[in-house]
Amino acid sequence: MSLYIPGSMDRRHFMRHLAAGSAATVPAFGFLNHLSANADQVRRNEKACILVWLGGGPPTIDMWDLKPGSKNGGEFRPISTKGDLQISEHLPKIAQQMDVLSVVRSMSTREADHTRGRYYMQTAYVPNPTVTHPSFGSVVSHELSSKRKYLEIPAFVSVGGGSGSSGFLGMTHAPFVVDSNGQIRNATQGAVDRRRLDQRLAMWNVVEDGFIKSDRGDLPQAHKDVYGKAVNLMTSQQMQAFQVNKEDPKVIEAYGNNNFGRGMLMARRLVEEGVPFVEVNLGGWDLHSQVFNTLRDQRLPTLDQGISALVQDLKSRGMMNNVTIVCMGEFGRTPRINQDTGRDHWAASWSLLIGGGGLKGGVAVGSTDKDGVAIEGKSYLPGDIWATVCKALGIPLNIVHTSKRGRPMKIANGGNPIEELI
Amino acid sequence: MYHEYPRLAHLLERLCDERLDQAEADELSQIVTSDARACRFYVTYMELHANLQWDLALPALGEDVPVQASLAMKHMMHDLLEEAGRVSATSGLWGELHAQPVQSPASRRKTYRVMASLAASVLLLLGGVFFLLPREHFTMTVEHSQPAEETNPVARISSDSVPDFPSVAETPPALPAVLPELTWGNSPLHEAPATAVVGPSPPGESRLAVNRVYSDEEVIAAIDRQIASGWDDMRLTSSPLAEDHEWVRRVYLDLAGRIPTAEEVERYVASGKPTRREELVDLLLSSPEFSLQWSSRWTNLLVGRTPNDQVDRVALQAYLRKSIEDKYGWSQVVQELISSEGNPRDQGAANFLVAHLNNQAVPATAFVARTLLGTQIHCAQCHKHPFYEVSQQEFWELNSFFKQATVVKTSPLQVASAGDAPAVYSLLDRKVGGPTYFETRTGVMKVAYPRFQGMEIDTSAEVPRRRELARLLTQGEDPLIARAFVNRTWSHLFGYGFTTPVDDLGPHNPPTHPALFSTLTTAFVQHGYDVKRLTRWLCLSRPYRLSSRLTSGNQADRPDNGEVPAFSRMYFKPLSSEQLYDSLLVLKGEYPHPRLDWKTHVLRREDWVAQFISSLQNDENDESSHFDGTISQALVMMNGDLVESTISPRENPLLHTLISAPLADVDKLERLCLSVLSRRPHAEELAVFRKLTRPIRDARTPAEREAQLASRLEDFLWAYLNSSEFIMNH
Repeated sequence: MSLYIPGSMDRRHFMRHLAAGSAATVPAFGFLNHLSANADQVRRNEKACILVWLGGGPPTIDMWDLKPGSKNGGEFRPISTKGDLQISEHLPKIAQQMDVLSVVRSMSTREADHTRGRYYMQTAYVPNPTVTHPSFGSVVSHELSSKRKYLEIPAFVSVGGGSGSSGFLGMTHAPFVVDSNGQIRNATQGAVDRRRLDQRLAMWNVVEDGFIKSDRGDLPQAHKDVYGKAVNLMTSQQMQAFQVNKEDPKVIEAYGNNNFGRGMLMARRLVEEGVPFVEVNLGGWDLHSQVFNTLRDQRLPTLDQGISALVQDLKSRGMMNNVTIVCMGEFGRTPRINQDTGRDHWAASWSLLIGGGGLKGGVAVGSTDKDGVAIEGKSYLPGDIWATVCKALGIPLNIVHTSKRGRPMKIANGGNPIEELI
Repeated sequence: MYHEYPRLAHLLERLCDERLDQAEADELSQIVTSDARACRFYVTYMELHANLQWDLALPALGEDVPVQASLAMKHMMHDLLEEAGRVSATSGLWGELHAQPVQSPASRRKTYRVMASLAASVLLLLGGVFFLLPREHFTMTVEHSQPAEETNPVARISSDSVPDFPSVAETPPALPAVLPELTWGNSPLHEAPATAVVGPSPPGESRLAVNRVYSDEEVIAAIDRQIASGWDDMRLTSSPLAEDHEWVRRVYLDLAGRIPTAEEVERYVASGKPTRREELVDLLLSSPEFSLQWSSRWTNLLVGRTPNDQVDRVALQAYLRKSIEDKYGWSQVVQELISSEGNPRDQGAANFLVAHLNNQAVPATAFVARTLLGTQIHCAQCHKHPFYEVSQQEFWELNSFFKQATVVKTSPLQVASAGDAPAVYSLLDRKVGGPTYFETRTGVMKVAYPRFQGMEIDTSAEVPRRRELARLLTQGEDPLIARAFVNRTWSHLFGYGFTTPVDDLGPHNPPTHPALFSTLTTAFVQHGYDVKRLTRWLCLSRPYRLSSRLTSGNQADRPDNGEVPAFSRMYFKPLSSEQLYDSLLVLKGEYPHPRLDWKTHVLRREDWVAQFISSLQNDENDESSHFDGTISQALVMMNGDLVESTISPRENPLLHTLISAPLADVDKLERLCLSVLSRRPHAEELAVFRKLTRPIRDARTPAEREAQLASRLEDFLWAYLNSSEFIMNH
């Protein structure tokens, strides 16, 4: 290919040349400065959160807070664990890791519609038509990505999609949605070399700035910022973190060679690279019918293997105290078993799994009554869970974000860390 | 317990006015803590006011409201309270709020500000009490019961002749006994009886009576006038009109679902005819591209983008496409979507229900309510609506209309080769009657009979319920299906609807321009639910012609920040993945394609779009898109196959032709820019281009020269495609 740039001229020379000789001003590319970043630095000591999202709303009464002897108890029995609590007999591998994991049995969250419940659990705010709140992964990205300058890949990765938006924190903190196969679409430059890409970006910069200057609101600038992130990512060695297939097949097998297992393995690889928030989706929990068969034969074995393998892996790599795991969905399911042997949506009293990152393990926080329909004593809101995660990640709780209209928003909606876990 | 509510209301009003004495405070506290319904009422009231305070009052006062500045806030509140004192002396708080359909946005904003200031003072005074309330109250469920009509001032106002603001002062300053009910028919926001005037007529202007059919000119004039009167009220001035280049790109994207070609842009701009806008809109509306664009959008709205092996999306789209080409009218489409039977491959309309009859037709009920009626009653299925009372009962009454509907698998014809033939499904009605049973949140079994807008139908097994529902949905002067459709169409063309979200027209979510919304709905119904005509009105209105640039006069018009849209400029509409695909094909000369049939085109496009869609895997068929403005989108634009082939002269014949055309290099860039962005290159762009093409002069052979020029143009095409200007409809 015959490029017009003399062969000896490097990129920096080219830019200077262009800027000096041209009537047009070509601003510097701040986002290309990472080129010298060294990729082989392992960042196992960084704090991170892995959210295991059980979309549809898991029947937690059959998983973490069983009610043997109650009319609502269902078919499963509790088993003892390495912690000071019992969980479902169909989660035997997790039971062996409960020394580092805890269950909050007193979630009471009032939103039992999928969309509203997802929004509430992921943002800690109830939906409001005048403002879009950021998902918590975006909050973490906002707080921690500026402290991890070495990070060239997005600070909030969602494996399998389904997460909310970055809301008023802006598109640069939006979840980067990937498949669990580790093939990031369109992330390579194809036939074009680096110099050609730079040249294209120089032209693009002029076009983009022209539109930004025409004063049409914030979107054009946001678009440009997102491109900065995308270019960073394209040229980064850290992209290898997505390639789960580079792992030893035995490791892949241990996590479960399915979408969820590979997603969990990818989460570990990303966290090792310094990504502070990874969401892994496991759907199919909207069990209005056939709840017990589906749990026993499909959902619980997959979940059991994925979470237990992750915990074991993190332990053996000495990362358990840095990585917080939260496993939940948008709500729980009715204690009452319906006419189709299913359970419906239920937000009044349900449980979630949380642990690692220095939080106390083996604890059952709070309790429900004998039929699981009401919480006994103190109950918790999503803000309390995220405040607990903040504590584990070292994010100060006095942070206040400001919506686009100047409305102050406390981090985690002003929730308080759960004392029993600290 | 209802008798306590007027008292509670009175006490809250006293509280807002800072006139609550100690005895009354004790009484208030007693009512709130002893009665769960009262507590719910109180908490909802407080939440609403707290939201109004932050969202509407404070930004209107000034940008800088630090959290710790409670003292400054007190001062502001003090000033506001003085204003509040004057207003509340003449009118009831709730009366004002619910009479707001006849208010202009600005006066409503003022009302909010007043209310918000009251709410703020409540918060300051009683913050302690509020947070000391036991949390269980939030989740407490209380059975819903019907309030007596006469205790509800909302009903009273809407049954009066429409009062002119601020004549609501004549209504007694009482609060409603309960929060407004969702009634299917006469929601408080409906513009009252047929004899009423439509539209907020500025003084001295003639009023249009409903019983006369609006002409096209009258409707367009009504849009222009009523939107502009909103600007006056909100003290905004509109942006200037968009340049021809900008407008022509906009209308092609909105109506044809793609960018215009360079020739189409030039033809429009060169025509100096005063009627050129009308002619272009009419041309586009009658084009097959409009039918394709419209049917694609509605297919996505009706059945989503996630593949479902029982659903034949193409058959549904074929039906919708035919409906628009044969001028069915939206009411007919709705009727057929609700009542079709048979094999969804042959009966395209049947696919809508086939897609959503799972889980006891709960998704079908929710989709009909949300997408076709603009009401969010699905939340009520499992819990109380956060802002207004809509019972689980109503959800299941609508659901009961689908009790007979079922999808059966019919085996394909028994022929030797049919071994791996796909299963054939059929949408049928079973001969069953009686009520639907459902379980309340407390586990009590209840019955629901098919009922819509208070109208019950015969529940015997012989009566086809879906056909009955189809009939009921299109009855009346101002059916919900018309309102919902008008709002969606407006939102498609203007970027925001009269309500946000666009599919929530409940009484808790008042429209921005209630009178105009009503006028458009009435006119749409009068003209036989003519989709193209409605679209035409909107496209030929003055607000649709405005530039998207902010000016010093409308910096506040920022709905992306949560402000109420004033439509004083054109808002950005990010290109949908379908619009992007079609536009890239335009640049390659492959769309509109003279020979490729639309179905093949649509199937290829769906393949490409699928990369952006994640199914949320729940029983309500929800899905999410990660397209708009994300890194994934940026990567597709920078490196994706489709963009790659668009910028390759080998794969893009139009680009190849342009490179070797007998034109000056700069003119080639101009053609390129016109093709992608529908405008001429800016001076800065030309300067960079000249700079970058200067070394071409040193080329030794014509072939080498052309190769170098090709590479420069390729790079510029890439840059234009990756610009925010391209990815937005502006």
